[in-house]
Amino acid sequence: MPPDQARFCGIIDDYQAALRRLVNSYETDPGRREDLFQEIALGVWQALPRFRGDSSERTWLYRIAHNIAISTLESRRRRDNRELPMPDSAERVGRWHDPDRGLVVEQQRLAMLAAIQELGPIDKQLILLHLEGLSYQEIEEVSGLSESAIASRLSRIRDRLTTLIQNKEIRK
Amino acid sequence: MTPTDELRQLWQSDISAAMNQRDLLQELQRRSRNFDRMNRRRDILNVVAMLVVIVVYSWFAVRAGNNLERLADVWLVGCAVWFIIYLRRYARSSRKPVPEQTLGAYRQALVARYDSRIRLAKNVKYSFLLPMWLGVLLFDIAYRLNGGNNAKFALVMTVVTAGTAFAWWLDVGPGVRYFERKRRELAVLVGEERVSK
Repeated sequence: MPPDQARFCGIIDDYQAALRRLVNSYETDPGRREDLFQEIALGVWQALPRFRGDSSERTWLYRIAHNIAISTLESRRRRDNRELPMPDSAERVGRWHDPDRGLVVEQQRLAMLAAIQELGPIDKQLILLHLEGLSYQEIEEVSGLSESAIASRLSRIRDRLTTLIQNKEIRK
Repeated sequence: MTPTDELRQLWQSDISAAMNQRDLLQELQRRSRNFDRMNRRRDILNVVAMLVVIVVYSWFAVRAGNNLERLADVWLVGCAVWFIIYLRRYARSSRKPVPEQTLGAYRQALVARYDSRIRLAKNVKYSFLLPMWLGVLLFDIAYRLNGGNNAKFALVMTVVTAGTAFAWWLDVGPGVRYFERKRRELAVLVGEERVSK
């Protein structure tokens, strides 16, 4: 396999789960999720020859992924509020040794995903980067916001997210 | 464990099934090739259209009955060339911004694309409509000086002027308003507070 292809496969291999989570937070429809994932992968593939290592691979990748997600949404301009599809939940629950525990975690995760989808675009981007484990400095590199702005904004978003999740769980 | 750790753990518990990378790569290469092919086809089409207009109107200019008609032909050749060059330049400048930039810069670049479209829509009346109208006016005057009848001269002038005025209104009114609305919607969608007002 040529080096650029091997490198691309390595990146996708390392970050596929994180990218899928990112895609899920932008899109509710499974078909569109796959389209968006491929759009992001295409963006990464096209940007790879331009990557000179000025930033870490991780921050570079998250910039591309969020920017393409935003511009794909912009192209379609469809902000529908359909409920999250649930068909894959049973499959996910099956991965857990204790199905009851798996079901609880899965419900919490879906509540969290729905809560994230309700956030404004900038808040959503910040919390996603934070949840993927990026440091404030890395989030600064990706978002262009200052560390202090990120810290205060994240504190507010975390509170809001917790409230939203609790509200969703209570409603169930 | 802090609330942040709990949220992180919950979020990262979603590990979706992996896609076959070879299939993904093949699909991306196919889409990339299609995209390049589409761009090449559009470029070729632009150049061919430009050449057709230049050749046809240059030929008209050579065979023109008088100097005014010749001037009108040359004028229209100039307009067509200018139109295509300007469109190509505009297409290049309004391409999607590169996604490697920071999220803030990217949001602003997306909004700036609408600014560019709005500028273009506001300029169209002077850049395209007025020169084209002048070109047709020259043709019509040349026709009249060559002995054409007054009724035809007046009819052509009226229809062309009314058409140009309608295009002018469409452009500066609904056209600009449409782009401004789209720009506002985009600003809200991407959360670009500074430009959403």
